[in-house]
Amino acid sequence: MTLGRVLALLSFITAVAVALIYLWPDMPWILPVGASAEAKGIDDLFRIMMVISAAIFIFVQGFLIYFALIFRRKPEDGPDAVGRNLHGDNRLEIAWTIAPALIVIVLTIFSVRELENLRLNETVPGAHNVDVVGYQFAWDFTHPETGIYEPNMLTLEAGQEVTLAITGREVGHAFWVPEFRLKQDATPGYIRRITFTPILPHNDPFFQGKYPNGFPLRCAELCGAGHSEMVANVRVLSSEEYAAWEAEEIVKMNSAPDGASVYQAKGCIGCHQLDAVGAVGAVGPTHNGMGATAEARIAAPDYTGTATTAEEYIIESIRNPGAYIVPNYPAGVMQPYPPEQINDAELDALVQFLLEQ
Amino acid sequence: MAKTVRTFLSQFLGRIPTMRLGVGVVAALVLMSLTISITYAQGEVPTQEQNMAGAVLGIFLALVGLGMLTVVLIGFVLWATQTKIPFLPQGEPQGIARYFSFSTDHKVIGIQYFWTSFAFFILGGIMALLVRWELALPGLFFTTTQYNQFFTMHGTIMIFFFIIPMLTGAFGNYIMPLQIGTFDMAFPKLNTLSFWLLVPGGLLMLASYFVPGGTAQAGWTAYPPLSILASKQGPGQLLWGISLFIAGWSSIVGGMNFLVTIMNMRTKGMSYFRMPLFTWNIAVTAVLQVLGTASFAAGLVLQVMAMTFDFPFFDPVRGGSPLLWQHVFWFYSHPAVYIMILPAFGIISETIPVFSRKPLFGYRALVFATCGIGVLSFVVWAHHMFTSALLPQLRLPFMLTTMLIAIPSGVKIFNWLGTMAFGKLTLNTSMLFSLALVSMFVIGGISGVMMGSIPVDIHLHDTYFVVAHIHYVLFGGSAFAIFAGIYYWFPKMFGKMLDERMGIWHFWLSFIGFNLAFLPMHAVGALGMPRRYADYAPEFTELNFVITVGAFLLGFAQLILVANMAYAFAKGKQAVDNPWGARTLEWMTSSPPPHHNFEEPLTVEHDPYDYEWNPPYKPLPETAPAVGD
Repeated sequence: MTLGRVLALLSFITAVAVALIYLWPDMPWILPVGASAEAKGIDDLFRIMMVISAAIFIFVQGFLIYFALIFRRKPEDGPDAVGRNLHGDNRLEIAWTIAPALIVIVLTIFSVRELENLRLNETVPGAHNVDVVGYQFAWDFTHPETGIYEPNMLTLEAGQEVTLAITGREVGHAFWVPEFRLKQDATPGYIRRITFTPILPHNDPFFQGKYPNGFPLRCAELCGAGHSEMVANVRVLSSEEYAAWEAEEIVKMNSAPDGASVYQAKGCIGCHQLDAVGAVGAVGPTHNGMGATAEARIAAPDYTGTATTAEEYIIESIRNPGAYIVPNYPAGVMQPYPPEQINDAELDALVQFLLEQ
Repeated sequence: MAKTVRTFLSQFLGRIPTMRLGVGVVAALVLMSLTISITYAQGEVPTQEQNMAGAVLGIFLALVGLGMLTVVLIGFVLWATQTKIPFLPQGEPQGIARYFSFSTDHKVIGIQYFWTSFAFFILGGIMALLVRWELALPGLFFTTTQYNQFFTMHGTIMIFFFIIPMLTGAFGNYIMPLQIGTFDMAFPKLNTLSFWLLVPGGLLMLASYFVPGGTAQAGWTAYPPLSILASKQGPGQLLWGISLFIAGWSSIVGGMNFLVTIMNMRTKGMSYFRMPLFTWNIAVTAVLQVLGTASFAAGLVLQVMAMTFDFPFFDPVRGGSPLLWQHVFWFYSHPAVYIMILPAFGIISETIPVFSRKPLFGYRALVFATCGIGVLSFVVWAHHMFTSALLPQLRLPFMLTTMLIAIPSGVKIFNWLGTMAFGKLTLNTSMLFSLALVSMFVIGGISGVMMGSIPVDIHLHDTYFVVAHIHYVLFGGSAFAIFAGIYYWFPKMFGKMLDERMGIWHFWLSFIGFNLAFLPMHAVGALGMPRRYADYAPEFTELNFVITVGAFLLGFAQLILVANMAYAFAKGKQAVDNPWGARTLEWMTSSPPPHHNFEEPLTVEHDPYDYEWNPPYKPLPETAPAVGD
């Protein structure tokens, strides 16, 4: 096979690859559904990179295999045969220095252009604001304009631009909804913003029926034992649904706290198992049958705390979790919840709720 | 005055016998156990007084420790500079025993490094398989804490105790002095020190598995405040920091030694531009080791102080910043990627010309590309932090510098292809692994450029895409080069040939297992699976299962390498001086080389890859190499 034919073959394969990348518009084998207005630009940039990558990949691997085959030492060469005494070629060196330089310049231009669209860490007028706090191992969302507070669940309006102000409580986390394509570390001591417009891509066949609970928000920065369980749901509602939901939440806000919602709101759900609210965490002990368990714990010979009733035991486990560590669970994972984080009214509701389990 | 001080110091310190190294190591261990017991005594919630006492004691102990280290280092430097030609002391142990001694022979030290890091390779591999076992199917097999410990240890061991010591410690130590035609390193005792710092470092890392609470679990990146929080569950996280601090010193000391050796100990006629590419890469790597590791060591001191005495360096509530560590860490750990890949490039820049029977194409271009990568590696670190709380305006300049690195990397790949063109290729195991590196590094390089672009990285960062990328660079790059180097230099180092049939099996199973394991990771990550997840959504099951199968195949393939080496020692063919017909100086002496390498000083008159000439060097008379070592 001559060099010309090899070049022709490699160009042909590249053309096929490029055609495939473009004819398969959503690239569902490597990217999830795009559910934000920003996703399209990022996907287009990704696609450009896939095209350039495919060309580089095919040509380098093609030449590598071609050289390995045709320049292979043959039996008739004998043991002393040497290759052609080439030490280099300055024109070639210049050419293959400039070629990758051009490629990265092009990529950089595309990247910078896309970066300008992303409005990272800006306050955007007209955008709906949400304060996001990541903590071990759940997320808190507050809508400051209405005061609506959502534990481990975020509700957004389709087509409405939203700015998230993201921070972390005790360790670093990262806000990432793959379908939005955006990620921001939630670092204690810093507030960083991302702005985007969530959409409902009803035309996308991969969207249909795939997200009954909304889009998964996955923590993307190692944050401890419950890292992989730190998943929240982000619901995107149409404008009418959103307005109805908002009104309902405001009504609910003005009534007394109930134990089940405190349980979800304060992140117990992230680490513990409790069938009544669908919590499946395995970092800490189960809360199924908590009333009976609490009685048994304080009666156990190895009990190290000071509680004398089941109620006191549950309070102690929340305010001062280190007082007694359930066997087979590591100490120091659960941090104490002082009154600033769970106030007395919430605590009462929570304890009553757990006692009934 | 200065002279008096110098004379006094040299009389006082100048003749530290090798055995006093032991004293230094013991002192370091005592220091560490003190620090650990203080942590214990402090309990979980230290009082204000304990904090104060701890801080005072900590500064004092750190000064004592650093002072002790400085004394030892100054002693060695003075000793080495006063004795221009440091001959070995008489009466060194012989045979196997010398591998357990404070030998100053660079070849003995090279082999000490080789087996130590190979043992860690197996350990780190077992950790990787445990990680993959957990991820084979959704649901939990181990506890999440155990899982976090597995991947933390896998990353730490593979990077700091396998790849870096294997490439710089084993090959750098053994091969580089031979390639420049000298009889030993410039500072042989410093060389001893650098290996014997790695041993306590490695032992502490292993010891951390046996302390209450288990070993470190904050990832190899150990971001605070998570790492500080983890240290409250037991001293494992602290031992991690101390262990890496010591291993870091091993790397710094080794790097200084390499630099001085390459600058001063080249034989007659060995100009800089006649140095083999492996030596060039070791030289640039040494610069990175000396400049970068110091930053890492400083960062580790901050971490250890924060863990033991509750210093608020990383605590935003008390005026610290979690970002501080990220900057300090990546300022080292990005160059560390090049510490791990440049010697690998060096190895295949030796094997490709030898097995193509053709001079290296664009020798100078490769040298300049190596230096270019070395310089650029220090100005790209924040591309690991595009999604962090980094000041947003800082992202763009780091994207530009990151993109630039693609240029010298591309130049390297094209020059290797140019070397193959019109050659007479022998596709033995060493060459196959070298070509596989070129092929796999293209993939790792491409995915690197993709993630260098901020908008794309914001989606891909901290996902399995990144895991795929680092493994294409560090396994497909560094580890494949290590295998190429083992098959290439094993005859020189141990005087025995490795078996080619087993070698070919090792190659193909590794290559297939590797791609099966790491290619699907790109998709898993981009589709939405973050890295370091112990459990995952069911939609990722199929790909993860394939990855686990590939990983176990890859692990199995390494058993063939172990068997091959065992077979070589038991029944392997005796190696001749120059089995590959190479032209670099390490082949111009017996296999393994005699004490002090060459019988008489060599004069170099030709390029290192000149296959049209017969070796211009006078080979030693055939000597039967000692069997067994």
